[in-house]
Amino acid sequence: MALASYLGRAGTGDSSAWQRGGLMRSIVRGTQAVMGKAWWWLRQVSGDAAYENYLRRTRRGEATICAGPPLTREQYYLDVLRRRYTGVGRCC
Amino acid sequence: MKKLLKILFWIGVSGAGAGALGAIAFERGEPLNATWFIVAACGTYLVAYRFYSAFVASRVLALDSSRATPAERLDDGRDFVPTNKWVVMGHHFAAIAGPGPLLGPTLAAQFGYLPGTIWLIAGAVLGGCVQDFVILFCSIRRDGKSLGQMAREEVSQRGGMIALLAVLAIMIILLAVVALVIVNALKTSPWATFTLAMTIPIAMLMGLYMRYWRPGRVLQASAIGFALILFVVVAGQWVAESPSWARVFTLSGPALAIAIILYGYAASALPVWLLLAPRDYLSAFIKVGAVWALAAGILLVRPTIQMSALTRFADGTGPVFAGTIFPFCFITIACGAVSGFHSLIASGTTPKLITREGHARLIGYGSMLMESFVGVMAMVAACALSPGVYFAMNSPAGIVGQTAEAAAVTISSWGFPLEPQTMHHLAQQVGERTLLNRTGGAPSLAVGMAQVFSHTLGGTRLLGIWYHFALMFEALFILTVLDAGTRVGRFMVQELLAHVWKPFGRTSWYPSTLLTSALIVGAWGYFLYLGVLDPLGGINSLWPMFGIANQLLAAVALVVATTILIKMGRLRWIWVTLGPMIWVLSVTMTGSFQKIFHPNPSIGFLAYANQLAAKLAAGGLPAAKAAETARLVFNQRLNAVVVGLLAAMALILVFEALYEWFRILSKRAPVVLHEAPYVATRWAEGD
Repeated sequence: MALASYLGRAGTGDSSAWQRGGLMRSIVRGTQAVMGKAWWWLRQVSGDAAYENYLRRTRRGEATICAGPPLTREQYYLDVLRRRYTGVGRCC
Repeated sequence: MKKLLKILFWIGVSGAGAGALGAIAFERGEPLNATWFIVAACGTYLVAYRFYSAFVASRVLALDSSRATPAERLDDGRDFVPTNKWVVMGHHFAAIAGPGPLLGPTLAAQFGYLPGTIWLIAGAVLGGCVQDFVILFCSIRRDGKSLGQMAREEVSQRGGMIALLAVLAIMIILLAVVALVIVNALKTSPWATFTLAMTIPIAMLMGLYMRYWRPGRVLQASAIGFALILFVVVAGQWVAESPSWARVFTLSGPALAIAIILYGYAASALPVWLLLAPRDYLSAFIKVGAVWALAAGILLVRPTIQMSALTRFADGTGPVFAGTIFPFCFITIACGAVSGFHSLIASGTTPKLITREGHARLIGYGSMLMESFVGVMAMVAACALSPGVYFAMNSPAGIVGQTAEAAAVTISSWGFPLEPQTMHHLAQQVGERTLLNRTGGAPSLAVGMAQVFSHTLGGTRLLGIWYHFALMFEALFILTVLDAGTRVGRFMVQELLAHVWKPFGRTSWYPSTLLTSALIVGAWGYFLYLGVLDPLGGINSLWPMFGIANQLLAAVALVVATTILIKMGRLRWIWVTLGPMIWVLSVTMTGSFQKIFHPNPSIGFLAYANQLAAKLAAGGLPAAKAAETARLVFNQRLNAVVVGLLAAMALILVFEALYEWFRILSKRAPVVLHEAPYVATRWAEGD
């Protein structure tokens, strides 16, 4: 299995855009692709997409140790916070 | 052809970096532009990343991307989660970037721009980045174990305990010093105090939003929070201009210290979703945003460096902190070049998210390069200020006096011309009553940043807003460090006390929570309060103590790393971690020795205590002053004991490691490496 598809990475830019449309269109498409990736990255880093990732992975049965019905959005959020702030997570 | 272009590209990058470094080092007389600093730093980082980190990755550590990482093998969807490498890098950078690399270089600018800049760049590429990278690698190979656990398994039984105690000590000193920085930034400033006070209800509002209204919607809540923060920065000006409200928010140093101690206690006992987590989100966004804005601003404005390459304070008589370049420049810069604290992050959450061993290079080495770049920008912002203004802001009243007139006379006599009017005018422009004796580095960094930002947008009309935005940004994430640190410190104390009586170890048991919170807040609060009362400003003694503690932790991490390299049979390459280890140890041991025993009272704790004790013994002091002096004497002796204990702990670990190395190399003991066994990854090749 390819790692990129496993991680659910955002789609890469369409390289054939140059051949199919005019310069303007390809610029717009290129910008859209970059913005899309940036937005995807921001949601991943900030934890905004954490619950969706969790659900996707539990449904696919990838996480090996988790058992029982999936947590609700609120339970999951509190669980993340509890685990994050029990160890050293912020530096000087 | 492609190969030739590549070679030409790297020759170009190396040439630009080396040329800019040369310009910084040898430029005399001509005013130097900040662009040189950016080119020198980025050129060196690129070359170091492309060649040195690749060498460490392939030869020294032999990263193996066919080997399944803990994130893959132990994937539980919670702690161990395979994550995209750029996302892990974002997490890791947000975790390691704190106030240290902004404040340390600002303080070290008193030596001139040269020593600090060289150490920021060279220390990072040869020391700090290597430490973060190697510890991250070691932790990945050991299922994400912590530095303490690795020290215990690979070096000695005592190693784990030493690491835990060192972390606890560094945490207490760190929290005291950053709290002192906040006190100095807010004292006598109703605008800044109001803005920071308002971040508490704003964070709580965000907390309620993310808990009840839209659970886990981090970006929405952060956007709302950010808009409100911008509003309160502007509203702060109205508060400062209203005589009745200004009085409410104008607090003295001791009053602010008590407020922050009470706040710290309350914050550590409150649920994390209400205050700590939302403010952490907000401060992470503002931190990364402000750092990028500063980089863009410096490139756009290209400010001229006004500080000289080396000032007269290289001789150890500096007003910001006393001591010569070796060891104090290195101790003061701390996190911008090498940070022991990073090894806790690199052996904490990060190794549990990495999908391939090969990613450790980008995440460990690359993130630290960015951190060092933040330090270089702070250095540029400090050195772009007029040196007279820089020294007036960063020197304590005990050295330059309390009035602009007195400060101008003293500072001008050092060879940095300063008119009293300049300080009055600047204070007025940024909406402050005074900018004198605002030690700690935060206010002078805020002035530097405000000058860069206002040149880009708004001109001097918006200087006040930019200044208070920058000050709020620093204070906001310092408060986050304070909350998160107090919490982690509390867990550590609970872990230690559980050895005495089991129920203390239960983190959800309220009596234990309240008691251990009080212990940890009491410990940093004590150092903070005495720092506020210290006539030399407190920063002078607390910041070097923090630097020493941090660098000693780096030494511990590098000892563990070197031991593991020896056990892995990489004796040929141990200089990669042994070199930085010897350097960091010599810096900290010299620093600790001087801080304890130096005969100059402004450097040595014992000399200062003896000087005060002699004054006390001579009599003639009024009763209140005598009591205060007696407390100062005790505090200086306590500082000496703390530094002595830290140094002794690190030395014990070093000697135990040396003995272990001797046994292994002379084949007196079998090599036992506690790595998890090899399992092949199930993911196809490529990223």
